[in-house]
Amino acid sequence: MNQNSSKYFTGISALAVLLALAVFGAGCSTTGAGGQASEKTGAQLWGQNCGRCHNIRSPGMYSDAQWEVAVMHMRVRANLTGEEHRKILAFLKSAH
Amino acid sequence: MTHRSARNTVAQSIARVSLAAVLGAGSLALVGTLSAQDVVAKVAQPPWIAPDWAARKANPLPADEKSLAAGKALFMSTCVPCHGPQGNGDGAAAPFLEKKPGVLSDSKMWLQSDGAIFWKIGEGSTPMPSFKEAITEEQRWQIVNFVRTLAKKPAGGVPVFATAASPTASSAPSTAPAGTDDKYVSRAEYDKLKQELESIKALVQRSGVEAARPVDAIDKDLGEVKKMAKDAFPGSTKMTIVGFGTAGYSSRRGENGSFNGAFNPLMLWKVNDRLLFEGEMELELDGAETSTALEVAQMSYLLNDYITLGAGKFLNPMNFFVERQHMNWVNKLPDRPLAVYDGLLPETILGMQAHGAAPVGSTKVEYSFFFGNAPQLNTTDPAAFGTFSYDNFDNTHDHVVLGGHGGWLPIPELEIGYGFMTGTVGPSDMRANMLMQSADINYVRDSQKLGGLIALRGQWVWSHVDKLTYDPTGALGFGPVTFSNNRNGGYAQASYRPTHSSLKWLQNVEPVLRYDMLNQKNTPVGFDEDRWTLGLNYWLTSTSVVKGAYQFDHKNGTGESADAFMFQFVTGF
Repeated sequence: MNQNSSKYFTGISALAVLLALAVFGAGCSTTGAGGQASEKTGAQLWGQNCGRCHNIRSPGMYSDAQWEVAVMHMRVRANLTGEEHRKILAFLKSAH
Repeated sequence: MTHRSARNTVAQSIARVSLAAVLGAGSLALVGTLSAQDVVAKVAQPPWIAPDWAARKANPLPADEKSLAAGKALFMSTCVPCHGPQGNGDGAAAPFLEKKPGVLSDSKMWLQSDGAIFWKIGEGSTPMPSFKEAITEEQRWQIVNFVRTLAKKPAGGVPVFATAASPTASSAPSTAPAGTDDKYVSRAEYDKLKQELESIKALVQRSGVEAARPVDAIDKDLGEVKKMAKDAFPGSTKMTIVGFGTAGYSSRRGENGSFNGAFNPLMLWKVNDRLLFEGEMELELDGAETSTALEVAQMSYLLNDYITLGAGKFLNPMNFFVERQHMNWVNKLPDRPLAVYDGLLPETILGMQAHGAAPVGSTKVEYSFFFGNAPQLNTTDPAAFGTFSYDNFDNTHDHVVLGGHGGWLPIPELEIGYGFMTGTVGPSDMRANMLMQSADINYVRDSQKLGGLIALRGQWVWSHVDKLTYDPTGALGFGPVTFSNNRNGGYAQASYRPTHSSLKWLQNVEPVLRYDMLNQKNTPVGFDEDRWTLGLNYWLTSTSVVKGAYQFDHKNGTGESADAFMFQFVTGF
C-alpha cells in the first residue's frame, strides 16, 4: 500500500515537473507569438497549430485539393476554429 | 534456473545484441546514403533568379524608420516561421521543408536588387508561398527594406543595380558622343539612328512572319493541356488518403522476438465545405492472421466557426494521447504508454459528439462533449474482474456514457487539459457507476537558445468503478470477490531535437525519454508496472522516422519484469 502511494506520488510529481517546466518555458517565450488568432497570419497559425502535435508538414507535400481535405480533417481532429482553418489553408495553397 | 534455460537466455541475448547491431548499422548506412543524396540535390537545384524586368524595378519606399518598423512587424508575423527571427533560415518550420529557406542574413543578399527581393516575396517558389494576395505591394516593399537590415554589406562593396526609373538609368545620355548639345543631333547621328531603326523594323517583321506559322500548333497544344488540366481537376467532392505505414522489430525478455508490420490508411472525403467523412482502417499482421480493424468511421458537420458535430466511431476525445498522439509517425517511441493507451481508457467511442474551439482574449479554449456506448465490465474472467472490454460495439446491457474534454492554451506552445467519462456499467444484477478521468499537459517549443525543438508531454488517468461483489455465488470458483476498483497510471515524456545544430545529420537526431506506469495491484489483475523507456530517433523526412528504444520494465506483484528492445520504421503520408 505504501509502495503504491509512493508510485502515485512519483506520477504526480512527474506531471508537476512538466507543468513547472512548461510555465518556465512560457515565461521565457520571447517570440511574441501570442495574441489573438484574428491578428495572426496564416504562416504563424500554420507553425503554431500544426507543430504542437506533429512535425510541421511542408506546403509542398500536398496539392491544393489535398490540402483542402487535410486541413478540414485537422479542424475536426484537433479543434481548429473556422478562422484558423481558413487562414492556414490559404497559406498552404499560396505556396503552389 | 536450469543450466539449459540459462544457456538459452544467453543465446537469446546474443541474438538480440547482434540484431540490434545490424539494425543500428543499417540505420547508420541509411543516414550516410541520405546525406549523400542531400548533397546531390543541393548541387542539382537551380538557383532562384528574378527576371530582369523585375530586378530592375526601383524601390519606391525610402528605408526610413516608419517603413522599417512596419516591415519588421510583417517580417515577424509572416517570414519568421521559416526564415527565423534573424533571417538565418532557421525558423521553427525550417527542418521540415523539402527546400531549406533562404538565409536572409547572408551578405550575398546584397547581390540581389530590391526589385528582385520584392518579386520573390510576391511570386514565391514552393514551398515558399506567393504573398501577392496576402500582403499589399507597399507592405512588400516595407519587408524588403527590413530584410536589407538583416545582412551585412559585403566587404568588397555593394553592386549598383540599374533600375527602370533610377537616376543611374536616366543618366545614360552622359555616354552620348561628345560635342553635341542637348537639343540637336548631328546629321551623322541621325543617319546612324535611322539605319538602326530600319534594321530593328526588319528584324521584328521577319520574326513575326516566322512566328506566325507555329501559332496554330501552339493553340492546339494549349487546348490539349487545358483539357488535361480540366480532367485532373477534382470535382466538388474531394477525397484523399492519408495515414501511415509501419515496419518494426521487438524483442521482450521471456517472449520470442519478432518482426512486425502494419498499414493504417485513413480515407477522407470532403463532401462539401461543411461535411467531412473519415474512415480509418488498421491492417496488422497478427500471428498467422492479418487483423483488420475499423478504427474510425466518423461523419462530421461544421456547424459554425466554433462548433463541429460528429457521429459514428471516433477517437476518444477525453484521451489526449489517443486523439492527438497515437499515430506511429507522431508518437515518438515504438510503443505506446501504459494506462493511457492500453487499459484504463477506451481508444474510440461509438456515439456522437459536439466539439470545437474559441479564442478567449489572447488564449484559446477547446472543448468536446460526447455520448456513446458504455464499455463492457468484465464479470466473467476471474483474472480480469472489474476491467473493461472496449471492443464490444453492441452496447451490452443498454448503458450510455457521457464524457467530455476541455483544453486551455494560455500560449500557443502549451495546452493543459482535463477529460472525464461517466456512466453506468455491468449486467442488470451487478450495476455500478463508473468514472474515468484524465489530465493532460503538452508543451512544444522551438527554442533558439536551446538550439532545437523540445516537446514535453504528460497524461495521468484515473479509473473508478463502484465496489461490486464479483462471482457472488462462487459459481466461477473464485468468488465472492470484493475489492476497491480504483486504477490509475500515466506517462511523462521529454524529447529534444537539435534542429538548429550546425551539423546537418545531428539536426535529424532526437533522443526521447519516457516514464510510464499502471497501478492495479489491488485488483484481481494483481500487479503494478512502471517502465523507463529510452529512445533514439532519426528523422528521414518530417513524417518518416527510424526509432530504436530500450525499455526497462518493472512489475510489482504477479508476473515478471520484462525489459524490451524495440525498433520501428514508420512513414506518415
